[in-house]
Amino acid sequence: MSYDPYPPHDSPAPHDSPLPRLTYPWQPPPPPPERRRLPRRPALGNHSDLRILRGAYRRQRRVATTAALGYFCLFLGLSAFAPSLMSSTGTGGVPTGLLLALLQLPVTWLAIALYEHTARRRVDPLADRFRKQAELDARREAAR
Amino acid sequence: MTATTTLTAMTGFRDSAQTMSLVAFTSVATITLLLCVMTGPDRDDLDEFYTGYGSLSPLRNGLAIAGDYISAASVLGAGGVIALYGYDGVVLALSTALSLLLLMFLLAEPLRNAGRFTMGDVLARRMPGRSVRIVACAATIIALLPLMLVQLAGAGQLLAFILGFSSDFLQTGCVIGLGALMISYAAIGGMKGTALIQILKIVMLLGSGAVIAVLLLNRFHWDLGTFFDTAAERSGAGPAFLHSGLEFAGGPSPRLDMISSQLTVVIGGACLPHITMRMYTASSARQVRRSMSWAVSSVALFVVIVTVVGFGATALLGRAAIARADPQGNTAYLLGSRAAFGADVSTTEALLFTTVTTAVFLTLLASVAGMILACANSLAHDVFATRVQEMPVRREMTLARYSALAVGVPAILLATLVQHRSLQPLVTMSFCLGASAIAPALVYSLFWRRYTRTGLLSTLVGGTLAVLLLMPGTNLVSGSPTAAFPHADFNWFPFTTTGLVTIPLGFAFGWLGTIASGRREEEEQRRRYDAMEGWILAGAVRRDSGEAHGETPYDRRKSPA
Repeated sequence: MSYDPYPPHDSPAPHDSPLPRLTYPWQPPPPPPERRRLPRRPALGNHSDLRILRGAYRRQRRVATTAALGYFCLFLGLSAFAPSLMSSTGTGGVPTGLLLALLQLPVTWLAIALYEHTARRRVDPLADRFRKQAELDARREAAR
Repeated sequence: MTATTTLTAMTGFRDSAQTMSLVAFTSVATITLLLCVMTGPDRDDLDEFYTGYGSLSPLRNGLAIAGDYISAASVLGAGGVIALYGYDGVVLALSTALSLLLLMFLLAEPLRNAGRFTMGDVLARRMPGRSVRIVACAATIIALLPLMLVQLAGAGQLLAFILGFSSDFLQTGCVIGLGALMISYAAIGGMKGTALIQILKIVMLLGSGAVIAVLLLNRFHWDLGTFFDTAAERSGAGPAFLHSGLEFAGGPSPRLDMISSQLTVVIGGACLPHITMRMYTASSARQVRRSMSWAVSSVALFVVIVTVVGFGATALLGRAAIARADPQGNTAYLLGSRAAFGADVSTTEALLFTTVTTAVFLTLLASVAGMILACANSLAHDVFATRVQEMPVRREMTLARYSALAVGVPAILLATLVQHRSLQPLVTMSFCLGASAIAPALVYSLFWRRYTRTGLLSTLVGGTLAVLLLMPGTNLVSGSPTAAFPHADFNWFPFTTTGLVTIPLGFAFGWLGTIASGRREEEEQRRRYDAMEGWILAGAVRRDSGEAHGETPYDRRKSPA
């Protein structure tokens, strides 16, 4: 990575070259340096790889988090605002609320299994490919 | 002491049990210390001291995470809340489990990829600079200190309860002695040594707890309906014991209080630095995922156990007896375990009960050691090691060990001061700090491209200050007989936690700080984030500029290239 561990707080980052000093203040400022040249070399198709990986990760994270948090919030809401439903007796003489609460534990195990499975199938291959690509890039750079 | 008399009255083998416990405690303390010495880092290697080199298998790492996560405050506290308030306690235990699940789903893998040793490393990866590291270290210590105090003070009370002494002098002595032991675990064992203790502890805790739970349910012939009904009956609250509302009754808006308290635990619980520090010990994102699976499973199992033991304690002994032993119910877990055996206790059962008390004792020791380690690592790595450009590795390790002492000694002193007050507000404060300062900072800096240094600092500082300002006004601190200051009343924020206000505030501070730092700074940050996104997502370097794989320029000093 191209950052310094201790950059001075007010100076621009090292690769962000400051504007050249003007000889005369009335001189028109020179055109800004071309931003396009900043990466110095094109990366090996990493951009699309990264995009796919990012998408896969994001979907994975969002679905899993929303599901877990959503179920719990629903449960909390029901406990707080629908006490009659939650205290009605369910199967085996246990109140529905407690049953719903204890049901969350098997659901947790299921969620973990599901998460691991999808992550291994969808995300890991992409991450592996991306990492290999990046290593290749790095080696090529070192050889140059 | 009423606690001891209850225990003694219930059982006929006071002396033998206490002797057994004492022997067990001493041997456990000796063995674990020996383990620490033997497995501790022996070379001058920071990686080994801070992370144990990722040498733990996912199962072991997962157990260590669960061990760090289930602190004595959660074992004793959750057991107590379940025994005293029933349903609300179960929801609290569930929130704890959910928190770790969310950590696994949302943060664990990017944290592992972005971090190295401490939370400061994660934050400073995007925003290098000393100020960020120092603030991260301060946030770590402020968030963990209250939790350490609770466990240390609790250790004194617990020993007094189990070993049956009541002198304050002896109790203070226990706190100091145990504190010294905890510091040595952290200083000698480092990450790997404490991991071993955590594994030992979680296996003992879950093993003995599972047997107790089976025994308890067996006494009710596995009829859950009767089990819960008996608990409700003996709680004195009737059916109300089995649905929401007992714990938070009395405030002006009990439902809002309940929801905000549970969500604070969900958001803050697993973000505390002594948990996130275990993410860095895994050797890859896949390993961290596997480890977290084991950790979440163990915590879920623990929720089952503590629910059964808590309800069982109320069903067999009645709520009044539990509240008499300790107004917060902190001894309910032990009382419930003891009650599982009935009146006649065989040698095997006495041995089993000793295992339970030893597991709780080990839990106390291990959880404080983990927290001390998290604070000491942060102090040494984020504050002292960055003061000079090139700090020799040996020096940083020595510093980390002295930092354990520097964190532990004030914690012990403070613990002896607070040990006779209600400790509940301190636990709550830790969770609030985790949820209002640390969680927003981690979420933003891992996922928000335009997040700037100003934004980060205002999240951490603003969130922490907001909690510190609001906390004294909450329910648990004053205004009721069970509060920390029962004779005063400055309860102007009528909620149990500050989460309702401070969590949105923490996120808002980060957003405002980022907006306020201007478009140019945001663009700069976005470019930086783009450059390191490969790191965060896959642990890979995207635009490599010369450094070896897996290193930041800052860490290059540590490996002779």
